[in-house]
Amino acid sequence: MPQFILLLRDERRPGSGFSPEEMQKLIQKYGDWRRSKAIGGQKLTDGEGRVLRKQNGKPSVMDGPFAEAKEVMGGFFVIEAANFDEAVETAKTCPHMEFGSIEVRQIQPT
Amino acid sequence: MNDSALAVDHLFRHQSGRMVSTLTRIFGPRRLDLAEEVVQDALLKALELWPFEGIPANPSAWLIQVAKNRALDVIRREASLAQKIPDVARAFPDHAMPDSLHDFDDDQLSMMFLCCHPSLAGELRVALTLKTVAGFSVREIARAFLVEEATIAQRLVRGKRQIREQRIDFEMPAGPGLRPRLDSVLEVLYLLFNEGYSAHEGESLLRADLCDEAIRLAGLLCSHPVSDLPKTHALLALLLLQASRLPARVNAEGDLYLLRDQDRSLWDRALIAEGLSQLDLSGEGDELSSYHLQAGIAAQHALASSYDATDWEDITEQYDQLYQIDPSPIIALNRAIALSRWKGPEAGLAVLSQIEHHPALAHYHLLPATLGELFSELGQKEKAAQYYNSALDCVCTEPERRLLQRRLSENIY
Repeated sequence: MPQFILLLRDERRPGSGFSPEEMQKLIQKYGDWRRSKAIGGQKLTDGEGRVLRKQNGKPSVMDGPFAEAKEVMGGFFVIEAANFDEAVETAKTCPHMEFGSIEVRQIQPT
Repeated sequence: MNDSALAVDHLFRHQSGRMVSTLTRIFGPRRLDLAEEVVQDALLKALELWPFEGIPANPSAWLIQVAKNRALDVIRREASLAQKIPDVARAFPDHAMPDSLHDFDDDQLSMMFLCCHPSLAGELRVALTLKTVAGFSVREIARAFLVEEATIAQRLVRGKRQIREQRIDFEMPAGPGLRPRLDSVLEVLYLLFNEGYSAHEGESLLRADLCDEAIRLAGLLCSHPVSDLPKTHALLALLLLQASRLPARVNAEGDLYLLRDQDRSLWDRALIAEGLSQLDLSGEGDELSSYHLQAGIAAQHALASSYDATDWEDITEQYDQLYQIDPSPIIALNRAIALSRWKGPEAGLAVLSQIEHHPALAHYHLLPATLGELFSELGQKEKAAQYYNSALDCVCTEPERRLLQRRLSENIY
């Protein structure tokens, strides 16, 4: 079965202004989703990433968020789906859609 | 990874209340904000990690560990708190098994005594208790009480300021100081419960949470030697017995059912049994509080097989005693209702005619509503309709309004 990686970017941090009860419910929602849909996933550390590129023969390193100025990568999930459309449909059901964007990429089958 | 661990209802809310209480003891009541901030940070960290990594085997221990580290960070940052490091280490032991942490319970009780201090205004006590001990957010409190968020936020700010200015201590009161302090805590729990129990519309889940919290905190009081007094058991008995009827009180459409019309098979028998055993425990000592009497009345209802088979004589007598303690026209009204079930509608009307024009009842919908019922029972439909109309002119909740309209339409011909 083809595998896909879902890259989760946060536009707004879930949490600030949330009550303990709401946080618990949200974690439960992610947990339910992950258990039924994902085969893996990992949180990425907070803070900006870096992009390396060769410029004038030397590697140059760029800091920062790269897609939208405000977006920060929060983490990723790995899912299995028959095809790209199905992967997108699954991604649409992820609770993260309330808090930011999801980029779907297919992992090249070996 | 064990996601079922979070199936524990309200784990975050309760753990938040426990940790805020303990940190308030360590930092001091003047730094209540700081305690809340540390706990909020720990919960937020869980919210960031757990969606990806799953829930740790012991989520409470995880939260405690993170809050501890955060508290140590804060202390290292602030010279004035420097000597508190051993306190944090003691209060938040590594690999904590939360159920064995009795200190947390003690701290929560002290926190309740702090939030319900008699020198704070009543509305501040309720807001502070819900926010800090029960782990509600400003928005949740506002929704439950149907007031603006800004109002609740203001109350919390004022409450914390008064705690600072009046230098209220974080302590478990003892000796002669205990009684008035405990009375104030019981009163707040009673108010919390009634707010949840009242027939407001919307946010019904939150309102049920208020009842649950009041019961949980009353249980906590009962289980501690300092606050384990007959009166505390009487309050808990009252709350449990009232809560037992909640499932029969409102249907799925939000329509209200009065005691007479409730399906008694929906009453929660486990809560009734627990309430009755608490009522037994409340019998020691010689103090007869209003909670004793109210619980006694609730117990009569719980034990009756039907509305008609209820021991209305005993209930009328308990209302008599209640009126001795608290001679309010509302109690007189309730007594008149019980009397009318015992001796008939005329007897009820005779008593009501004495309080009908009491200024405190001028806008109270249940007075004309009761008069409407009694006249309706006597077949005097026109008079009944008149009173139902005046009841509808008063402020009441939406489910109550619908009920009154139903009654009104039954009495128009």
